[in-house]
Amino acid sequence: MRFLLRRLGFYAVALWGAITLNYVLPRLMPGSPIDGLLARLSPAQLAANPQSVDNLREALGYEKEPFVSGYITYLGQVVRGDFGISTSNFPSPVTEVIGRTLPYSIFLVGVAFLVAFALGTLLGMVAAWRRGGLVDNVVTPTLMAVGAFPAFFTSLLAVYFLGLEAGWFPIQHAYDTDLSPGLNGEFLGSVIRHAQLPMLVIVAVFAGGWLLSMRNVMINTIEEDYVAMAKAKGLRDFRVMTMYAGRNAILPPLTGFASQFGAAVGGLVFIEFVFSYPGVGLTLQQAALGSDYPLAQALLLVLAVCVLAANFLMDCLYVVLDPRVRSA
Amino acid sequence: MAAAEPEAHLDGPPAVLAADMPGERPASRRRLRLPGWARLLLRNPKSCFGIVALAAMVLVALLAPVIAQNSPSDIVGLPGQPPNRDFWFGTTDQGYDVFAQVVWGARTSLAVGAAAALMSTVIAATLGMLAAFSGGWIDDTINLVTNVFLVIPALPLLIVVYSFVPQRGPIVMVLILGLTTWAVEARILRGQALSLRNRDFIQAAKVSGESTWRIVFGELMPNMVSRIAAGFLLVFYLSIIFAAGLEFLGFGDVNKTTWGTTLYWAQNNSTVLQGEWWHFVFPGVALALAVAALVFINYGIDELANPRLRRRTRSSLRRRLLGLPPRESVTS
Repeated sequence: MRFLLRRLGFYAVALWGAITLNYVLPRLMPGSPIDGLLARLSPAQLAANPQSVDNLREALGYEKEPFVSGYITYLGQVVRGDFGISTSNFPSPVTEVIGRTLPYSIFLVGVAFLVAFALGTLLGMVAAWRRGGLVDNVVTPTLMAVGAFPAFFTSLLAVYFLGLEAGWFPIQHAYDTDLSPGLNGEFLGSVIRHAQLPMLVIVAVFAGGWLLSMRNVMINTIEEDYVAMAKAKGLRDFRVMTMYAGRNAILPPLTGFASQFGAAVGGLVFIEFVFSYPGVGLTLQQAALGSDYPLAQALLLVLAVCVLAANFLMDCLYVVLDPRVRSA
Repeated sequence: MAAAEPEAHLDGPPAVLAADMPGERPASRRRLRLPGWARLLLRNPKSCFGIVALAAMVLVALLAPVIAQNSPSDIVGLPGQPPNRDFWFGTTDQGYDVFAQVVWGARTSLAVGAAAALMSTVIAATLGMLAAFSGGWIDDTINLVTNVFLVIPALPLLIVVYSFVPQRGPIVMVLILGLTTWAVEARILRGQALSLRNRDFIQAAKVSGESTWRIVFGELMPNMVSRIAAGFLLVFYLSIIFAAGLEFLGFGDVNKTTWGTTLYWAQNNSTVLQGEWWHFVFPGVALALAVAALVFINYGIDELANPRLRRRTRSSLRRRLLGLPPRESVTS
């Protein structure tokens, strides 16, 4: 319990750090974000709307208040979930845009990342168990090479070869454009069909990392006495591999979950961009390019919260898996 | 250890003293040591592939004007040609030479990656060693900041930072990448420094009243060089990927030639959907090769540092010669 409370405390600090970063960043930069917005408007547009500068300033809330009291106001807004209006989706509030896009991303990255974890860990076990066997000699280097590829290049190749040339998968958007979102079989089927290829890419990119870390830890556990003991008892090979060697080898790879999941959330931006998938990653890219600061900042916070929440789930799992944490 | 060496000179005859002049010593030591680890790395097939591939890339980048006759930013041929005798990698939708863009892009992409990695390594090494060595609240603070940076997803953070930057280009990219990627390395180096902190030679330096900065940079750092070098490669890899990725998403200077911007134009002209595979495959392969080279060098270093990851051909041979049963008979 104390372990989990300590972790929760750390995540609270991390979240506060992300919020503070969000507040400080635009104020650290040379020039004002307003200038960036104004640079996108033509002189004629500016001349036609002389108040637009003041209106923008008002809408974004910059330079209205001094640093410290502005910070307190900002914290209050974040706590209330008030992120302002998305300038690129005017007049939708930021929360509405996020509510529309987040479910797609959670579905995409959640399912694919768990599959990558399960598959990579299992293959890593087999690779260590049958050292120099087929899995170790063929699957390990292949997945390592694919995992080393930049995610967006893998996505481009997948779109071109598997989507376009082979025609096995739909390549753009999250569902057929002639359908409207709703909880019916046709729509959900379309969503699943469209998610297949992006998910395949995520699995291919991330399974290699799990495979390698699992394999490298497992190579050490295999030499432990309790594994020899389990074998000597005559237990089935698969049982010794999963319940004895694998069960104990899985803890160190799990601690790498934080950085892996963070990387997956980053990879999501590329994958959604290449597949025109309407999730938070693509929205973040468009918001940042279009100087929609309220939306971009809120999305950073949402993604940070997602990563922190996933980390906390992992901590809970860790407590279940490792009795030493419970007693400490 | 290093602190004790000057004392030894005093006992030796003058001739030895002359041969051991400070200027001479590091040179002779380096001549002995550098081939040592280099040979080890080259003997490992993974890191050997990585080193050769990276060296080839750097060579291509340096010789860009010789290798590519066409300028990467001139319209030199008919648009949208597939690879042919004149344009080995084809031309873009605007008629630029893709081969020239890939070759010249290597320059910027590798240079940005290396510069960002250098900056990040300096920050990470300083903070990591300072944290481990100072202990107390300094350690706690640095450790907390490092961990916070580690759990905030890096790419979204980079994108948001980039949205606020008024200017875009390679130098801004280096600064931003350097300031955001140091956390991974800082944590590793802090751990390494913590394990070294209580060794005798550090204690000796402390007792003899050396300043903290001197101990950290004169005693601690030389013993962490290999770990710092491995960390540099890791951040080099991250920086190249992040830089290309950000440029691909449109956050670079789209008029500069890098692998990332070439890929950005490929995506922007929807070459994938039009089947013009050469526009994105060649810069992508170049990028993937550079990144894979770094990853493979790091795998090689891992295997050198952790002998258990290596195939035990040598030791099993020795065991057989000694008449011991082969160790792996149970598993195979």
